Amino acid sequence: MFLSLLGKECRMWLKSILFYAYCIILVMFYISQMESSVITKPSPGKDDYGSTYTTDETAIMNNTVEELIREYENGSFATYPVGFYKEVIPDKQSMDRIGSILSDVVGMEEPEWPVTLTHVREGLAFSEFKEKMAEVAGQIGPGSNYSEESLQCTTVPRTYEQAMDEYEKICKEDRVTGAYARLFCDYVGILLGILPAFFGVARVIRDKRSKSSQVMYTKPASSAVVIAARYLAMVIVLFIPVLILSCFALSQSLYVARALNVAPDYLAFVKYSVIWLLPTILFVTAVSYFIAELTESVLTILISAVMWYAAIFMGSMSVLTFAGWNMLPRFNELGCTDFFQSMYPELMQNRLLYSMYAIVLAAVCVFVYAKKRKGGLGSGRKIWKNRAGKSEA
Amino acid sequence: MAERYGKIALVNLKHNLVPHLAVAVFVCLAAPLFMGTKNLDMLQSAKIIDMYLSFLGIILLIPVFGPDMNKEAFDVIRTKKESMAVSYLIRILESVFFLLVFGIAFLAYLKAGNCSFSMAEGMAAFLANTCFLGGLGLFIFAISDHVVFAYMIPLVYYIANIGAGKEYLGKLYLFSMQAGNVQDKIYLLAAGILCILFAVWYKRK
Repeated sequence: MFLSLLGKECRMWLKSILFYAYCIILVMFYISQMESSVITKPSPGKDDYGSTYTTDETAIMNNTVEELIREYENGSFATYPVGFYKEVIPDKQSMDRIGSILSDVVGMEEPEWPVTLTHVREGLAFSEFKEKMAEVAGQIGPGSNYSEESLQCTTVPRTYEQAMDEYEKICKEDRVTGAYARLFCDYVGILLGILPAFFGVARVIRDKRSKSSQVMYTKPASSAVVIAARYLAMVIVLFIPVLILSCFALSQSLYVARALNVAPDYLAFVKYSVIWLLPTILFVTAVSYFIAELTESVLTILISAVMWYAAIFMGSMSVLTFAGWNMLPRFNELGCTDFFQSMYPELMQNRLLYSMYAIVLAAVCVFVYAKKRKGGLGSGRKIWKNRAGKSEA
Repeated sequence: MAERYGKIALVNLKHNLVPHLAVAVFVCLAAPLFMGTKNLDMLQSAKIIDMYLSFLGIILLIPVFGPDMNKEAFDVIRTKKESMAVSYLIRILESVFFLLVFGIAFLAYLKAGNCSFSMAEGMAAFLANTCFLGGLGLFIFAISDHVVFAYMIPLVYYIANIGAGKEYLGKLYLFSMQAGNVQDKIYLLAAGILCILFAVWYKRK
């Protein structure tokens, strides 16, 4: 029963205009976004090797405290809670607290510190500094320069030795293909934060328009089987084009790997896609399908759009390499293997969490569908209509 | 006649537009919670108009064909004396009226917060972007008869503007005000109006 329903659903999607639009959008986005930048071996004696994220605690502390003093003296703090600039002017109590934290961090009382001070007091532990900055960030609000993700993304000019070290890690640990696969996931993930939502809503609207839900309600298949088959079919038709597209991306990175004489990892794109992109598809599809099943309204799309907007723009002014608890982890860098490795456990936790959310939402969707299916509580079979009272009959 | 047209507008407002208006009100009222609306410079103000308020076009214009999704309601509307084109135009004008109300109110609020931008340019950019995104949605709705698809294309176009930029989208780049170019908005406005007119012409039968 389940496999038969799953097959029918997949066939339905393969005939749908939405599916073809999805494939075209995915390909066009990939072509327009994927950089043609090629990994090359750094040559000595150059003036500029770009910049790199630093894990040097002293550099992070000094850069941060310099910025904090400047903003504190101005009495206003720049924040980007969802990508838009927001000036925060803390009240006196918050300013006093920030001032006392700053005094503690630089080891001087307020009138003594020079505006151009660029270092913290000697002996200040990084863990303590992070705690203090978390408190400052709490006083200012989300999207400030003192949040944990901002501290993680402090950049410094890259030296030749660092550039060589990074190059070797790309060759040995990423085997070139891994570095390109991360960039692929970063770009494609942006689209997958919204496109699956259209499928979830379309599935419910289709039933509503054709009034086929009334027929489906009478079928012997259980609600769990119906919802699971529909949900899984959506996930399959959404994920397969991503895998196919990743093959094109792989072929490009194989070319670079061969040019550098590196043995590539042929499965890198598949591994990264499954770990990184599949949970996004699972979650976004589950959210939209659940809300659409509950409300039977196209306004679900706007809710999904708001979620996407928040995920993509939250702190986006400075942070493009961050997982945290964001629905859309970012890693907009070709290389930076060390930095990615330090971020990897966080990324895994994030992806597991969103996969679990997706499963829970799908289960709740089964409950909603079953409730509507039982009917008798209202003719419209919307969940809140059901709650409104007994049937007119 | 005016009474009949008024009735069409009222029925549309009551049975179709209210939830969308509620979303639009929420979008406007929520803005000060997560973005600055006071003492913004030209660039920061333009960013809000280009990137945030543009959504109102999708929210308020695409529902114009919403009642047609219900076949019974559609059949009833078709039996009425007024042509479908007149019905659609009244609904579109109603949506545009609300767009103007929201646009003027929001921009006046920004102005009251001492933000630096020209009210006329701000309104022109707002109308051009909202008409284009909403018109694109209506156009897609008309030719595909698929409401989800109608929301999908303008939203994807918006995303394409973030990713691809002016280089790929030329005169139809949505965020040109941020680059100090309000002249190009005329192309967006013209394209938006053309999309709307084509959609009405196509759906009128």
